[in-house]
Amino acid sequence: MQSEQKYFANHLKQLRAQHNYTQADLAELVGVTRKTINTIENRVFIPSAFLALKLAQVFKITVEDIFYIEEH
Amino acid sequence: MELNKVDKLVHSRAKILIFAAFAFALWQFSWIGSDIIKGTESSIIHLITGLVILGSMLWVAACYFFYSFSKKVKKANAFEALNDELTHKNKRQAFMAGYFTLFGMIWLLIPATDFWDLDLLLFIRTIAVLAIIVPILFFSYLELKNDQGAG
Repeated sequence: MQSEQKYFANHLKQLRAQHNYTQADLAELVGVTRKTINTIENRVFIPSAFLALKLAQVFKITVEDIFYIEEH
Repeated sequence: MELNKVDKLVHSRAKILIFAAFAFALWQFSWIGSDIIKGTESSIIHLITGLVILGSMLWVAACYFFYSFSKKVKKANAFEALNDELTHKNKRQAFMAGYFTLFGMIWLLIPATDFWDLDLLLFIRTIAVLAIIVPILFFSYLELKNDQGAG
């Protein structure tokens, strides 16, 4: 599971910058702590499908537009 | 960067838990220590009795801090955020740490009884205390680690 975390990549940081959200802003919008957003961005934690969908809903895009598997 | 209110509550919770674990350990291990030297003419009995009393008072203080913290969480409407899926994952890992502590120490104790004449009740109490404080401390560690700072 730990090695899989490395390849579970995301565009969260770029999306936040586009929408002018801090990690805290995004965390509040989806009902989690800032640290949870931080650990997802830094590939330390893989979110559940539910949280991934909530994040996609905030940015009005699909889950696949946020998360992807990095080739290794 | 200034921490937001949920961040502050996460940090507060970890600190209160660390304090509670310390208070509980001081109280219980001092109590075990006083039981070990009970009936002897040891000069440190008064010191240990003092530590038991101090530990129990700190534990009462920790209980008050928990109560006060729960009020702050309710006021900030932060219960959901403070119990998000990362927290659930950390709780599961902390529980496993406690389980393996308990399991490992019991299985060390069993063969040890073949070699030494041990006061089993004291060892069981020690294991029980460790099984409480290890998950608390591990959970607090997980809550505070891997935080690369606000961005």
